[in-house]
Amino acid sequence: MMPKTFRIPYKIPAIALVAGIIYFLFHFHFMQRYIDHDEIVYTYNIIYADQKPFVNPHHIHYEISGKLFNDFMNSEFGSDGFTDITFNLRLRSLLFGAIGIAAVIIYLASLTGKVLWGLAGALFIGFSHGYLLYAPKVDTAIFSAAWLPVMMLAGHYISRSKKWPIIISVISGIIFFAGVILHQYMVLCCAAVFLSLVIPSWIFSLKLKKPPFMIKKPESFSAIDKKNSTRYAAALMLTTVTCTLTVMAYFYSGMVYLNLSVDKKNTTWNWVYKNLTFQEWLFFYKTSNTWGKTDNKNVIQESFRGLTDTFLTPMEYGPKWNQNMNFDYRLDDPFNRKSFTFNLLAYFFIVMIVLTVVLLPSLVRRYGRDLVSIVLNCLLFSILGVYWEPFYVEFWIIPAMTIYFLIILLLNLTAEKLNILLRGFSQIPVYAITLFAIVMFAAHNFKYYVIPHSRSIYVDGVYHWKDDREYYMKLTGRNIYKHYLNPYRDVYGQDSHLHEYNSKMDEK
Amino acid sequence: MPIPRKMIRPFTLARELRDRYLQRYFNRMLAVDDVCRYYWQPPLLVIIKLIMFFLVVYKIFSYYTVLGDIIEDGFKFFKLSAIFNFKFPEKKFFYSLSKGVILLFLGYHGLIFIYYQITGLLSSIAVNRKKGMIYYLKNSIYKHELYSFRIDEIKSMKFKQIIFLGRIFNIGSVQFTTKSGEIIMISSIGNINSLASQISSG
Repeated sequence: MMPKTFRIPYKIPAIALVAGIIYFLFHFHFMQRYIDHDEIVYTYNIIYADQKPFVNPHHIHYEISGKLFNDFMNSEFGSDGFTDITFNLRLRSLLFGAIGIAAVIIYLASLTGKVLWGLAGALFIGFSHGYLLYAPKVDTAIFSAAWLPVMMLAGHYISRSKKWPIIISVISGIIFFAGVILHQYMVLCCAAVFLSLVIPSWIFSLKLKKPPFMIKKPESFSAIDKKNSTRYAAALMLTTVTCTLTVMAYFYSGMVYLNLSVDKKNTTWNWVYKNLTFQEWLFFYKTSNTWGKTDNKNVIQESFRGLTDTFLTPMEYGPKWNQNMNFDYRLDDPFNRKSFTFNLLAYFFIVMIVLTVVLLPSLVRRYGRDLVSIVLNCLLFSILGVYWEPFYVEFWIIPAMTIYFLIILLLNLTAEKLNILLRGFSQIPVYAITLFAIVMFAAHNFKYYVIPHSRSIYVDGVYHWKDDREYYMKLTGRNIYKHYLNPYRDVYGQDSHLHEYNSKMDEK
Repeated sequence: MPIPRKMIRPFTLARELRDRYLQRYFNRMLAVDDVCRYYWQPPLLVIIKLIMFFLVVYKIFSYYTVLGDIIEDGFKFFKLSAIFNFKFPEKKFFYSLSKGVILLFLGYHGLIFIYYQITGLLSSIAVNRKKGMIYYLKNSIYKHELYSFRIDEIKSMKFKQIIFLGRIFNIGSVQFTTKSGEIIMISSIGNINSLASQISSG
């Protein structure tokens, strides 16, 4: 009789770690050279972070941690050549991107019980256009997107824990706090997971009629499903820890570091937060009219543009590509060679919607609170995306990730249902279809996004500095490449180009 | 009065200590009398297993260069040094990394293995023929687990002995199937022939 309680499951985390490292190295090889307005602003904010107190309430960690990371890279790896701030910041984003990929594998493998579905989800997400674009970009979206599966995994562990739900809630509270620090809008994820935890257990015990003569093993319930009081205590502890730490962090940043007060406007220094109170700083994007760029007339088209671009790169990647309302779908000609990938995406989603409708009761029974958490996250972040900037990829990354989570759960359930017909081989046809979709989507994004954006320098939306070209061109890492204008000359030998879209447009 | 000098070998001392400790525990917990017969894993077997384990670990660890080369080849596949001006890690780094990975893997499994061996060493099975009871004490360093079941409740018994090991250590494993369908398996018990005769006799 050997004790088995000491075994820690490490195979899935080990696979996830290896996948994360490979994803990191893949992006390192195809390091993108895309520069846009936001990237320039964020990089200079970090460069001057120690000269001007700048804590963006939207993501209060960003500038300070960026500065720290760059200092760390300079001190530890500066002698190896890692002195370029843009490149170091790209590596920081990429590091989070790789963590996100590893977390997706662990999350989906925990939900489905099969590591292959975790890998499939990671490939879907890792090679979607939105994730590819933001993973190595000096921007904020990847941090929240990569932390989403970690937060959802924390919620999953609370809901499935049989022994220590309260202790796990406290740890999850710290994880949720980290999420809010990474991006303010992650409070939506906190709310979604919280709601999925407090939903009464009887909702998930829906049972179809079964034959009367059946021998069944007693089900073992998780701690929060056994007792209502445990469930509410876990949810309360989660909320308390998250809120306490978040409030402390925001009060420290606003009142101590930036010296803002609740009742009078700040007039002590000239910077973006001049003449602001603490509350106005807290909702800075609202008070500075940056929030909500929805054009009410074309909101559906614009949202569709943003969502489509998050999955697949538009084939004409040029100026204002994200506001072009000509889509590449040709549904009347499914096997059109040019539009095949877009048509595949469309038909894949239609099949998924039909399957969801058919298998909804089984989905609820099989995945319970996790399904509620995913659906709520998808809805809340979609509403945010529509409200904020519906035509742009950035705010559709998280909804796209949650849609891929749902698809993986659905495919796994379909394979389990096919078990009646195919016995032990039921997963294989579903894996084959999934592999085909992954290869098609990944190949499309690789061809139309990764290759061109790693070989050539794309400069987009820099009209603010059109008279000072050196201001942004010095962020393109001249010294880090062996051949600056043609970095892959020794590897592939192809030529590369410099593309400056908006500058040219403005000249016209 | 001078203490009589008696040669006590450390090995015998360790066994004596273990046996007395387990007997005392049984007596205290179950008030079993001296009719009880005790069986445990031979300490020599545990020591041989541990020596074998460390030899295998040493042999596996000596292959760290193979793993280091594989990791290095994997890293070189991405051809980063042909693209960037950075100084990338050299062979020494990958060997250190592979040492760390192997050590982590073997350390994790090694700790569990040693934990199992200590558990096996300190656990014991006792048979009380008079009362018709079998007791199994699982002593896993930080807790005791005592199983007791009646011989009458046992539906079938399976004694398994590998002849080679039986000749050297007289060890074997026993598997009880109770009438309620439970299967209880205890492996590497010393003096297994005596245990079999104790349970099946009478």
